[in-house]
Amino acid sequence: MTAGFAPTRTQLDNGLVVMHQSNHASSAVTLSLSVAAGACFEPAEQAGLATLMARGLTRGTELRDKAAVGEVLDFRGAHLGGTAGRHTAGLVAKSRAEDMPEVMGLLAECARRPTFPDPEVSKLLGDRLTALREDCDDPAVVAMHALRELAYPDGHPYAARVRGTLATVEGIRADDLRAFHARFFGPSAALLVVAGNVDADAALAIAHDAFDGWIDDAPRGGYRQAQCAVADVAPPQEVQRHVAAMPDKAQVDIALGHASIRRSDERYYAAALMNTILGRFAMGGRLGRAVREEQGMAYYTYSAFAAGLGPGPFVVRAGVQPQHVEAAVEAMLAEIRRIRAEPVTADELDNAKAATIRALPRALESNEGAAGLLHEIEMFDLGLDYLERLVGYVNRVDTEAVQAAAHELLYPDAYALAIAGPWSPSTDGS
Amino acid sequence: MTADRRVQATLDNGLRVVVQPLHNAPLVSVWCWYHVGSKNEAPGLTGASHFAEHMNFKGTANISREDLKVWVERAGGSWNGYTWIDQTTYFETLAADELDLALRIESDRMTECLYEPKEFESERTVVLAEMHGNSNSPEYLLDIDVTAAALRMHPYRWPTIGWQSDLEAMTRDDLFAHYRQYYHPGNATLVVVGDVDADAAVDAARRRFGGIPAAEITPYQNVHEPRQDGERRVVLERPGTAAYLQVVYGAPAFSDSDFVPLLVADALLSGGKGINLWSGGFGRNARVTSPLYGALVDSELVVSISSAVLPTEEPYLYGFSATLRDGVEPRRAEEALTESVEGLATQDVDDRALHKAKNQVLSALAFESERVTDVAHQLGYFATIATIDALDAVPNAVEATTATDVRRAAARFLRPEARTVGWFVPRRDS
Repeated sequence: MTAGFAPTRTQLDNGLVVMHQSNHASSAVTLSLSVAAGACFEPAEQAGLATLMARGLTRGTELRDKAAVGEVLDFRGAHLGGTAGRHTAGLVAKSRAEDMPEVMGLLAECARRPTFPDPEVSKLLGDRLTALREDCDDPAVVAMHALRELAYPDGHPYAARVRGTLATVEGIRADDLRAFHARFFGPSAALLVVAGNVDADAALAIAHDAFDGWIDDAPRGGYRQAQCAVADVAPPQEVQRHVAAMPDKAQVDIALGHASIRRSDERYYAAALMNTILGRFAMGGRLGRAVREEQGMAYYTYSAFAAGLGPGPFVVRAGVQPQHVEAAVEAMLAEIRRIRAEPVTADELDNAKAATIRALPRALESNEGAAGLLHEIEMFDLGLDYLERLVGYVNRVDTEAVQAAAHELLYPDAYALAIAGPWSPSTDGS
Repeated sequence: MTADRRVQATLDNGLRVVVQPLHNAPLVSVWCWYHVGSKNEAPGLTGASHFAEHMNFKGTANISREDLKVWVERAGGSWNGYTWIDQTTYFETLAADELDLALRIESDRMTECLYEPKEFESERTVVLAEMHGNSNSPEYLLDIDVTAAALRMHPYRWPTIGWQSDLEAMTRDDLFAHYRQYYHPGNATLVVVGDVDADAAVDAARRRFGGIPAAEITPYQNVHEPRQDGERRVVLERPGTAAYLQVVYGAPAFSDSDFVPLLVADALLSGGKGINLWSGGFGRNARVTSPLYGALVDSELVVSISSAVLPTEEPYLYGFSATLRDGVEPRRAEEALTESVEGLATQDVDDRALHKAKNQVLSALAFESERVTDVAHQLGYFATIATIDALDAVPNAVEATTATDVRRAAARFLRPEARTVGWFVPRRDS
């Protein structure tokens, strides 16, 4: 099923973990440097700082300015960019295999020696402010922001807006990016993944050269160890509803959900299969059948279950016409109640298991897919032989475990509901 | 890549079959392409091709609506379809030993779809929901208006999803007639790429499709768009939070000898892209060292600018899209953009810049053809709108493009009097 997947893991003297997977069918190599320096490390009043710092990594180094960084990449048709999420920030690159050593060197330079020039940071801030204004005009984004703010307590890292707000971004300066980088962006809390047409020994040698001498003043103990702690969230006690009226839009976006479990929860595989049946398999699972196929109310509907280092959200989404809002919400809740009350069928569970296991070759076909799996393996301490054990984890889940997961982890009578678009409670007569 | 000989065959009923063995992963991707898109429609029935695509996932005489999806996902597969201006296509990428399952589904889809009246009415609301979801985006609304202004005669002028009034008025019988007219072997190309034996795959295709009767091909009523000899403008003033600019010029068909020179011209202006709309999308943000980045992003007129030369069967549009920085007058960004773009026809192009542009295009062409799904898409796409030989010739044509070729293509297409300009001006009073 996953023949050829034989990753390696090496830790350099400076603490940097290097993982590698070869793919000689590809002409390219994907590089991903990830550091425990995501949004959960930034102060609430500087929301957006980690993502801005990541975007700023390629805007100039001690050795070359932004244009010179761009020239190395653009001459080769390669890509390199900064990215950040709630837990990590880093750099991702893709190049032809023959260009990988040079691109790895540039990636390391941007990671180690960024200067965050004032004019470039000023541009980044301007870009971000425009992007945040665009977010305010997008019902899907508005709904998801509102859901997180309802589902997580104030100050919880999963409630925050990773890209910040107009108020927080306006207060950020270049010195803040420099200070955040200096404090958090170091090798002792970092993971480098190399996937593509390069052998393990060569990849390791090139990585060693590129990152040799990168030392943390205050080592943070490892990529996993340095991750921020995320507090548990108590189960919701009531229905909390937020309506963002956007009367000039054409469609309403709905997000319904609550905080859920961590990736390390022993119910994870049962919960993942339950989610596949409820809102993923064969275009939106049971939700897709009810809301889209049978009632024709939505172009999209699905559920998502983001178990991470902390209790990520379980969310049901749909985009519907204003007159269908209440009916769509009722249909969502009916499916949540049903999967809690009745065992899924053996066929449904078999399908979900087969889809999970037999999709692995597709997931691993691309360098980006392999790199993503290596990142997951390291982040959640799954072990290099994870794929061999995954089949067992999945196959051990029975219908009782799925129902128990649904019963324990879904709350049809206490949840957050965010509705954004051309709708108000009177629109469909309720 | 580990590849064997590509095989092409035409069955007695006219179905073209293309098989490309690739033994990188235990996967196969099967695409069935129909030479019908929104350009084959007439006013009153706009959107019929896309609506028919939706109906062709709703079950056949032999396979239920659910099984069309369940069987593929049980096999670890992904599936989907799309419609655009020249074509409609469906695919399954799944375990290689399930090749016959994909062939069974696609052969059934060609002639056995049911178009049940109840399903038709339900799906009409889903299609309208898709349209309304798109309409939540100001850039989408601007693109619809600019395209309709730039093309006065050619059926490329209406959106693939159709006009709302046509979708509301269309009957089940209208749509079924459209299906019967265009879904037959002589109007289709079947593509199989993956871990298969080529001759065995052709035999398998013959077993599934060989018994489908041939039908008469409906000739396409060729429409020549008149030459544009005066600038056209669209100003869309609506509630919103950001301003957008779109500028389009007439562009050559893929088969035109100036298509590749214009692709290289686009690389010189904003950075090289490939020609795989499935994996690469419609455009990409300008590269840091490109003239458009310098003129618009570095100068803080816009947050981002993207562009795309799209491979189409008939002359279409070469477009530039920008998100303006808050407070910037659209006129200033427009002038900077048109000056850079239209200046290309008279500028010297130095060897290094040309070499860099070609490197970018060649890298993009390599990156966009790494997975079996992407390779299969390209073979089917170009077999439908042109020829596979023409696709194979693109890298060499890129290599052979000279500065003179670029200037000629720019002078031919990037004329001030052939531009159509669109502004989205946000109204913030609501």
